[in-house]
Formats: sequence, structure tokens, C-alpha cells
Amino acid sequence: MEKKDLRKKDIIASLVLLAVGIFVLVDSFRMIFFTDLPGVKEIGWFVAPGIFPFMLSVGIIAMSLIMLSIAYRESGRIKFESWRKFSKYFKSKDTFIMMAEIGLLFFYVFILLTKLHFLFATIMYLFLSMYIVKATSWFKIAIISVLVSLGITYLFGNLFKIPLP
Amino acid sequence: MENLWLNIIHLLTSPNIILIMFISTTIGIIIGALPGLTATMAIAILVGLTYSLSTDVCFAIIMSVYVGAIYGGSITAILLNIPGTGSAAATALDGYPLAVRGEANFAIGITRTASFFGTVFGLIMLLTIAPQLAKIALLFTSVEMALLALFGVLVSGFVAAEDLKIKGWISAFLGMLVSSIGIDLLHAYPRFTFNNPMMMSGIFFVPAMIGVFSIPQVLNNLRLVLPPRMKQTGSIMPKWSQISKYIPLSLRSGVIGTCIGIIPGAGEDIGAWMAYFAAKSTSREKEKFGKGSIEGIVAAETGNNAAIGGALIPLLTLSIPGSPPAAVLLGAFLLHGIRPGPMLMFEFPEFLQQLGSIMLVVSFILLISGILVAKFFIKALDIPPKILMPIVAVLSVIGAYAIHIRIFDVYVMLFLGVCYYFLFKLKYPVAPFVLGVILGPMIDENLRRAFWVHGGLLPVLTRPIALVLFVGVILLILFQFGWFQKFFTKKV
Repeated sequence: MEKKDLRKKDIIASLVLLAVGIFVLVDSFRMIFFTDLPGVKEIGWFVAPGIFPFMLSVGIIAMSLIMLSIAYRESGRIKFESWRKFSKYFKSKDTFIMMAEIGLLFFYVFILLTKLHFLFATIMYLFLSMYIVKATSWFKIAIISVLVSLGITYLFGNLFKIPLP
Repeated sequence: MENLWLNIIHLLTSPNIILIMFISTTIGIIIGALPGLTATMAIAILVGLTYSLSTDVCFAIIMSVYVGAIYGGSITAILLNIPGTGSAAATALDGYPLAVRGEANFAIGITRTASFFGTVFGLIMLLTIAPQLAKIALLFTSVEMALLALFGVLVSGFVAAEDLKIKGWISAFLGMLVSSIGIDLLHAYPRFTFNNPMMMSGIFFVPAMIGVFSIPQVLNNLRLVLPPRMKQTGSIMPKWSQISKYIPLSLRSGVIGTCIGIIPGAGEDIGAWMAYFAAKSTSREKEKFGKGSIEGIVAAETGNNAAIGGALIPLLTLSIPGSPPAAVLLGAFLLHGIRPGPMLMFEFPEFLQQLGSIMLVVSFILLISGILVAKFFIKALDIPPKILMPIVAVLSVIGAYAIHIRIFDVYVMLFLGVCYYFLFKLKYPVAPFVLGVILGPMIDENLRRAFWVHGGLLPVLTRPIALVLFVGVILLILFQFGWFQKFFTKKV
């Protein structure tokens, strides 16, 4: 990735991190000063459960601001064209495949594993995942998916007695 | 030392364990050799998968895979010019030109003996230094432990960052933040749980580790296309005369590798590079480096394997891992009820020797299984990542689920893995995040306990070791600013 491109994405990442930092700061502030816990009143606010997240949030906010300034300085001027390029990124084949694979992982974990037996869920996931990236012909993919799923289920579920999801 | 030999005899007279170690080392070498699969990822998944096994079998498997995988990376570095693991990147510089010259098998043979030497050297250092360091560590109270862990996390962030150093620290802070989710240890107060009962018990480090180490690799390498392998010609067994002339270089690279291994988060990759650069700068044949220098591959491979022992030194004595695989190993120790740190030598006096005996036996097994992989299992390298990566994803799901038998852990693994994939693309290092997740509770609990006992920050800093560590943390932070660097160099 080109440095300027990386810095443009760094701007977005630092804004997200800044939001995370602010959320943690607010919640940890509540934990430090608005909770009635033993020790906190007698000894002081610095033993409250929120003190560690508070320190972390201050660090994250400070670092995201530094990151933001570095990224803004090094990314050059953000032109309208560059944002168009950015939108092109989302339309590229690589991005589509990556998003499809992420979606498939979520589908496997949240839907397939909860509705189907591990063996069948895994066969479906492996088949679809390899099919999306065109690993080989669909027939070979089907054979690999079935054999690997059977192997994993037998090895871990039966032989090693590891509970499967 | 007597216990070490007794443990070795025990291992050698247990054919089942030896067989398991042999298979694990062989699998470890193959994992290390396969581009996209790393030693850390393999150990992270194994921690979950071996949870139900007895402690000695579990660590025999994990250590065998660890040592095997660190060596295995060199095989692809030589044959494909793609380092199987990050620690073999320096080996590729000279290993591949040797393969092009038709000396692939010789290079594989030399790296195998160098890896053996490096592992044994690191082990000797571990057995020598660890007990002494543990005695010093006994002087540490909660505040020193908290500051030391914080120092370790910050150093890791500093060392591991490939792009801006601040990205390493952001990773470390995010890891510590994740570790603070759940019921707090001192007041039993729920933090960031959103009233979800599953979140009350917090984020367990094993699913987090598996997620951040495996999912980004799976997504990143799904479309990786491997180049054809170089033809393997020549003998795979180097002659003694060819090995013996590199002993002084191996010794020096072993020292460098071990010392780098001790630095939190630095690990095998940097150990290999530092040993390589030291060899290059002192060599009489500097011009050969990068064009097929035997010295180059010997130094890199001795350096990365010696770093294994080095990384275990702070892990066992101070509970601060020296490398990413050691961070994952810490998770495995904790899961099996072994708490590394100053008290380890008292609570589990046999453990260091037990671990040492496993490493010694594994390093000998490596000499044999290395030949087997290079000669007979080399075709495993032809499995395309497009087929391998979805299988790794399934293994990650099983690994995350197996420990607490909770589907919630799989959700955590997937969520953190996908989040980290985007951060990984933006060059945020993974190791500081994991170190933060593991050491976060140690920093939080110890720091607040110290405040509680001493009644504030200033009385805490009257302890000399705490003051030194505190100054170290502050200096480490200040050194990131240009104005301070200028000020410091002017004054010095």
C-alpha cells in the first residue's frame, strides 16, 4: 500500500479510535466518581474500578489525536478525486471477495453452526469459501469439503473428545 | 540440573510421548513451512485444541510445534523465496540464491543444524539465567510487577511496530482495554458489559488470541498464489567439516538471538535479523551476503531458534513474554494452572526442568523430522492457500469453542479477528495487542492494590525498583517525541 493511501486510511482509523477512547473515558469517569464502593470513599478515587480504563482511554485519545495529525500531514491534500478512488476500492474484485469471505465467516458462525450439525455446517462453509476464491473445480471442492469436514469431526469430536460447536 | 536429566530419561522411556513429539515436530515444521500459517497462529489454535490433554502431553505438543514451526519457515524461504514465518525472512535472502545455484538441499541441511544449535543454545541460557532472574524477581511487589508489565507492553509496542511506533502502542492499549471488560478483580464491579451476562466473565484471552492471530492471516492469504518450488538437488546431510567451521558464528548468533528474545515482543523475527546483520558486518566475505552466503543462513537460523529460549526467560520469571509465540504460550500456562512469575520456582519447582527437557528432546527430534519433511512431506507445500485457509478458519472456531464450551467465545474470536484484519491492513502489529490482553489484568490489579496499600502514587514511588521502572516507562514515552530526543542528545 502506498504511504499516502495508508495515511488516508489512518485518518479514518484514528477517528474510530478517538470515538472508542471518548466512549471509554465517559464510562470510566462514571465508574470513578459516581459509584459507591468500599475503599474508594475511604482511600480515594485512584482505587476505583474505572481508574485503569480511564488511564487507557486518555492514552488512546492522545495517541489517536497524534495519529490523526501525522496522517493528515502525510496524506497530502484530500482531493475529491482521491475520494472517488476510495469508492472505487469498494467496487474492486479483491474487496468484494474479502467482504464475501468475511460475510461467509459470520454466516457460518451465527447461522450455520446454530442451525445445523457441525459436520454439515462445516461442509457448507468450506465448499462456499473455496468456491468464492475459485480454489479448483467445483467437483474437487465438494470432495475436499466433505473429506476435510469428516476428518476434522472424527479427529476432534471422536478421537480427541473435544466438544464441537 | 539432576532433575533435567531425570526428566529427559522419563521422556525417552515414554514411547507414546516421544511419538507424539515426533509427529508434533513434523507437523510444526510443515506449518512453519506453509506460507500464511505462523508458529504463533498454530500455538494459539493448539492451546484450545489440547486443553483436555494432561499438562505434560499438552506442553510436549505445543513446544514441539513451536520449535518445529520456527525452523520450518526456512524451508519455504529457501525453496520458494517466501519465508514460511516472519522469522525466516532473513534466511530467504541467502537461502533462495543457494537454491537457484542448485544447492537447495545443502541449504536446508545447514539451516536444520543451525536451528538445532540455536534451540540448544537458547535452552542452556534459559536454564542458566532463569533461576537467577527469578531470585531477583522475588524482590518485586505488586507495584513493581504492574510497572514491569506496563514497561513490557510498551516495549513490545515500540519494537513490533512496522510502520509508526505509535501504532504498536495503540495496539497495546486496545489489548489492555479488551482485558478490562467484565467483572473487575478488586471490587467485582462490571465494566463495559452492557448488561450482557456473557460479558460479565470478561473476554478470555484464548479466543482473543486465536481471533487476532488466525482470522487476519486467513483473510489476507486466501488469494495468495505460490510460485513453483525450486528443484531439490544434492545431499541433505551436510558434512561435519562444513558445519564445524561455523561454530564460532553460531555461538555469537546464539547470544544475539537469546538477548533479543528476552526483549518483550521482539521475538524470533528480530533475533534472526540482528544475528544476520551482525554476521554481515563482521564477515570477511561481505559481498556474498544476499547472493547465497552460508554465513547468512547460519546466523539467521541460529538467531531465530535461540530466541525461543530467550523469550521464555522473562516469561517464566517475570510473566512477561519475550515473543508473540511466547505470549500465546503464557496463555497456555495460565490455562493449565501454571502461573509464571517470581513464584514459579517455588510453586512448580520441576516445571523449568520439565520444559527444558522437552526442548532438548525436541531439538534432537528436529534433526530427524527435518529430513523427513524435506524429503517426503515436501509436497504438502504445494497445497494452495485457497484450500488451506478455510480449513484454518474451521480449526480456529473449534479452538475458540473448546476451552469453555461457549459459542460466545467463537463470536468474540470472530469479532476481534475481523476488527484486527482491518488494523492489520493498516500495519497495526498484533503482538502488543495480545500482550496487552494477557498482561492488562496484571497491571490493573497490581497497580490498584499498590495504591490501596500505600495510599496513592507518590508513596509507591519511594521504592527504588518501582522508581527505576517508573522512570523507564516515562523515558520510553518521552523518547517518542522529537524535541525530547534532540534535548537528550544535546545534554548527553
